[in-house]
Amino acid sequence: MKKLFLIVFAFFPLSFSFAEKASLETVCQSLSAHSLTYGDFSQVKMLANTSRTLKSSGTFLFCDQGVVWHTKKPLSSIMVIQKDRMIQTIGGKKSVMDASQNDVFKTTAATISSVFRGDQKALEDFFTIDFTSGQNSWQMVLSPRDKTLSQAMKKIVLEGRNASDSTLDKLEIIQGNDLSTTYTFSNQTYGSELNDDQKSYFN
Amino acid sequence: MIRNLILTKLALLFVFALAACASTSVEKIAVDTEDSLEKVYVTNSKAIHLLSPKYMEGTEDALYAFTGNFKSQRFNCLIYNQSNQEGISLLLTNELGLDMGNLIFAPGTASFTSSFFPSDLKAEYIIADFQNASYDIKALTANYQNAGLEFTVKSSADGSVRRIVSDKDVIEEITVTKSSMVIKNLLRGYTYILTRLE
Repeated sequence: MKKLFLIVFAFFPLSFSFAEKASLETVCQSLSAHSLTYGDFSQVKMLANTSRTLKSSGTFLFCDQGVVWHTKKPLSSIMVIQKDRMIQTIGGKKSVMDASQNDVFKTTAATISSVFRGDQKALEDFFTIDFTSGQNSWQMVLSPRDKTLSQAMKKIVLEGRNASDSTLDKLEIIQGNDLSTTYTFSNQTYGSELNDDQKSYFN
Repeated sequence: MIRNLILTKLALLFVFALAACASTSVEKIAVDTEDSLEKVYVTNSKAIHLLSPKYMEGTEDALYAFTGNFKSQRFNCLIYNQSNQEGISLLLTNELGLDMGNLIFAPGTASFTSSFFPSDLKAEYIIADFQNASYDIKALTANYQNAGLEFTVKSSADGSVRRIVSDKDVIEEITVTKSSMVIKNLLRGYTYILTRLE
């Protein structure tokens, strides 16, 4: 009996740990399982040739229609990135930039969408992925395969928590000159359908 | 006798007129310009060289919200402006923190790199607008005068309104205050509005 107890005791933590550790597949499945994710962000961008940083904060929305970046500080503005266009609203004035002829924009937009939404196939198309996972957290380091992307960024580091639903908590884009932009996400909320306010971003 | 006197006077007037014309066309006001860079056509027939960066008034290390209007198109971004007597550096970034463009101006160098803007958008034209807003007024006045244009300044307690005038037509109006710059080009039909954030 004592032997059996020791065997169970010895193996149980291992099997528990194995079950709880996230994999690339489980994280991506979890991130992409929701039609929409919204919450708060804070953003810090390092600048070249200075110790200054640009800081901003606001709310975000990731969904099938695109990515919404509603900056509230230091300047209120809304930026919507879709497959082939960008919508900007500042001071109540909306402007639409048609980027259907701009390959760089389209690649960047597709990358942003796949990163925020955990689209594993797209991520694997765009990047080589180095995934590590601990007991409570995971990290994904994405290195661009595409030349256009590699000119704009050296790598992207995503970090999140392991839970019943994996969450994306932090994203860092590191440029070729080692300058980075770091996004920290909080109050992530999931949903299946856009409400009227959320729909209006895309009109 | 009278006929000879009139002819002599006319001849003298002609000589004076010629001398006056000759002195107007060759007399340039000394100002240091970046002659190795492309000229900026202010009107379709009158062009300037960029001024040397040594004419920058003070230094800039500031973040601006930028709105550009051209005909029915409108574009917004953030601009981080670092300018001093050695040059101008403008970093254009969108709200997501992604770089939209990078402009560099230093003696003998003017470049604008961007994946988002048309490749035919020349750095010299953007730099000229920034020089109009923030460079020494005497140097600007001399540079435009040398190109057959007028550069006027109307100062107020809050800032100044600068105008580039060609044959009495206002080509560009630049309104500079402590918190903003508005550059309105009436000939080409564009407006830049820069609002200082920090």
